[in-house]
Amino acid sequence: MVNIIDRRFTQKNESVEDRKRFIKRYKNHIKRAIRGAIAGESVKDFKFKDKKIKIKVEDMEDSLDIPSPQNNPDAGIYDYLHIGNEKYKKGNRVPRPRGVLGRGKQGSKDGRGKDEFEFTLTEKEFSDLFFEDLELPDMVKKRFTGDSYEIQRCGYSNTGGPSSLNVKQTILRAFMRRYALKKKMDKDEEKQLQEFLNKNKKKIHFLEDVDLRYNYRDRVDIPSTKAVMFLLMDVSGSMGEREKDIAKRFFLLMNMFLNRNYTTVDVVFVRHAEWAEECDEQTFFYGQESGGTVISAGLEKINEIINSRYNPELWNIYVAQASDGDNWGQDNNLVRDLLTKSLLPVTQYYSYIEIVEKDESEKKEVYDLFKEISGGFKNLHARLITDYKDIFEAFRSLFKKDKSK
Amino acid sequence: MSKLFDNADWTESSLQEIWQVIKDIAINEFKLDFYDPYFEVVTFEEMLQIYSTSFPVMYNHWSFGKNYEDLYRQYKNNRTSIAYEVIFNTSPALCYLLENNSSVMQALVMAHAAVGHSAFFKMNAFLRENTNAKTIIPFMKNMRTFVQDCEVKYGADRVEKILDACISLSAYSIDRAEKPVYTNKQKEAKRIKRLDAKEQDFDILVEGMKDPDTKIEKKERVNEENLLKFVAKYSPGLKPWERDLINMFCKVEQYFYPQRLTKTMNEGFASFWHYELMTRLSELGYLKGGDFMEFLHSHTGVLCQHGMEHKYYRGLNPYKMGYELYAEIKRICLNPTEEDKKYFPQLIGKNWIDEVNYAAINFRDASFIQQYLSPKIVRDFKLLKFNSDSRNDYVEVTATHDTEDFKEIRAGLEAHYDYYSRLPYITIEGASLKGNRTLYINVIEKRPKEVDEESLYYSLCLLKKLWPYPLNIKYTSYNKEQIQTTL
Repeated sequence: MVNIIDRRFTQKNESVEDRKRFIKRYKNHIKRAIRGAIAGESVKDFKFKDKKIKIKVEDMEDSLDIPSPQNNPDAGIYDYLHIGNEKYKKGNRVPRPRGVLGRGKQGSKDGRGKDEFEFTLTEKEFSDLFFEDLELPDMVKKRFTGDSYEIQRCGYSNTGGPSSLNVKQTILRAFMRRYALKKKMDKDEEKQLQEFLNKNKKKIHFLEDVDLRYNYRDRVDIPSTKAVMFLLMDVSGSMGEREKDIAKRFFLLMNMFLNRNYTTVDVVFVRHAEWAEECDEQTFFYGQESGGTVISAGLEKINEIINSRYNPELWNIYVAQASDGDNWGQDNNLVRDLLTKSLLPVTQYYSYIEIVEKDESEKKEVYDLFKEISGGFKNLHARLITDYKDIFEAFRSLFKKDKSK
Repeated sequence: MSKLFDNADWTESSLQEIWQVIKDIAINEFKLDFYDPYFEVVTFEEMLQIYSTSFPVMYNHWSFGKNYEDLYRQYKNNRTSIAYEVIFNTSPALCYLLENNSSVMQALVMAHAAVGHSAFFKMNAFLRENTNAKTIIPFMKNMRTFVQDCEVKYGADRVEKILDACISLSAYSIDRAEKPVYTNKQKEAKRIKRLDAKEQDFDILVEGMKDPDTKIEKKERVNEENLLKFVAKYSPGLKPWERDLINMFCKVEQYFYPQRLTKTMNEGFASFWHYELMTRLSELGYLKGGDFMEFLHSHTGVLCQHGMEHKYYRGLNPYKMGYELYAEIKRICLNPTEEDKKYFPQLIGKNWIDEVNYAAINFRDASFIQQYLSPKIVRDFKLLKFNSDSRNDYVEVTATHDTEDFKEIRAGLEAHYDYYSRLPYITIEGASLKGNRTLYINVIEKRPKEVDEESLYYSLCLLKKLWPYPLNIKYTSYNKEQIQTTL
């Protein structure tokens, strides 16, 4: 009999460790590739899934591949052989070929050529790399609401059902008790004990009721981390398709990031022009509206929703606002009041992005206003975005890990 | 005879049966001697994993992860067909079979790997001299745990850097000839005994305690080809565990070295015998007609050789070339022509089984071509030889499959199969250990502008991680001009 072992169901999967090291080594390249992949992705389909990543081997400034001393494939004088000659005769001269005839195609050692190295990241690896170095701003509220709890083991009790009897602890106590009785006694003490036993007609039992110990389980409240994210967008006439698209991408990132950190995330869409209303996702992004812009209307709406549905004591509140920087001039004071008095004190984090054209980046009244307020409130951050490629950078800068900590 | 199997689905007992029949024929009829196999049936992922590390037990390194991803992508995109089996030069021979092979395919890969390759591993003199099939698995296990321990103790980064440098210079970590010459038989026996004992329990402690020898001076001109071994022995900057790690790496490379130089022979031998064995199975009535057709389909797929004008042409197929060389020996023994009598008088009228096995025992790729390439193969393959001079914008045909060019074609093919002759020639001239610790490296060009300077200097920079003192490189060009640089 020869040994035949079926390994199909007991896979060792040893390549996992090597794979981890490979990803670690090429981390910077992969990150760059991820950024590229996001730029080309359509907003609707984008989510964390297993993702194909292409790394350009040529791009690597510092060659991470292991170099080994090689011969120049085409330099100097050398001979080589081929198979299947149909037309050449001795002494024929052939123009120096590219590819098949020459060795050009086999230039790289493994025949892969120096184009792109493509492989697939799993969902987990992808999101880990994607959000690496980012963290939630501090002050996460965790409250014992009582609606989420866990049954945990909490030591032992001396009452309980037979099924929860802890044998080890029980035997341990029985041993202790009987060992204590074995201690050296005076004759008097021994006599006393003997008399006591005789009188009560008892023997020293292996187990007594006092020895019994039961596992004890208790309900332990766990703090719930609930978050609500308000997405506030200007839908007035001045917001074009481009601005909306950029805002959407930014909101998507924000949503994914919060989902990683909280067990439940509510998303509330609020759109505003001169008025404000809560709406669903479809209308939020694709609804056609026109009119002037009054930011304070939107802020008031959010404040109203918070007061009615999301108790700041229980919820972590995030607001992400996107606008093109237009506002009715006299509204600014109202905005300042609303922010500093009612909204900023209760929110975890308030991010404001202003989407502007490159050439009109000096027109940023609202941005300046937010910047000014953010001096007093650390949970308010404002950024300017001029192009698609800024989105990821803006997002990163908003949530960058505080290195001073 | 009854059929070996009724349908394409195999079971463990049917595999046992197939192996028993194949083994009997191989030993009794074909006089093959092979290691006892140890079959494992694995999934496609694990097959790739084994393939990417090139040994079932391997230390961890990122490059294997990269290999795996690369292979995975190639298979997914249908760039290469999946390996049906992998076998290793170990005793017992570890043989991995792919789970979704049909019964016929399992019989084929058993005949190919567990008989063909395994017999070649056990019989070929070059392989036997350079490798010890019995001790390699314990050694690799040992190395794996050693690397893991080092990563914990001294940091994964340092280990990775050393392994990077080692892999970079892996072609220069081989002893091509054994150096000490022993004439005394008793001494030789003692030495072998000692080596065996040493191999069985490689003692890290004892090896690590040894002080590096500091006697070597530049004047002594060691001319060492084995760069890594020299560095491990003499580098003043290395810690004992680092020396051990490099030495272990050298040993692994030494193990793979003969396999690189016998690839064509090895694949040819396995292909030749799987063909003979499967034909014999069919003759004896073990295989149905359809099964035999399925076998032929795979067989011809493996041995496919396109001509140079074909769009899928990828150079010479080692399976095909090897197979044809052995098949030619059989043909010459059985039906020699007048030409064969002139070129291969030693084969005429001999037993073909003995002659094929004799060839497998006594040669390596280059010498095998030299000995057995026949003018008929050159004609059938329509081989031609080009000469390329980078100063001209054309290449010249210097030999075709005409009979008068035969020797030139043969010499060209021989050079084609000598893997190490195609690498730059680098040796260590010496090291001044008592002076400023410079390492003197010699690079000699065998043909003009042959050495790719970029890759050379990149890898020598890695060498500097192992020898953190000046490296003096003497570069002798084809015209005997010398350039000296210090890194």
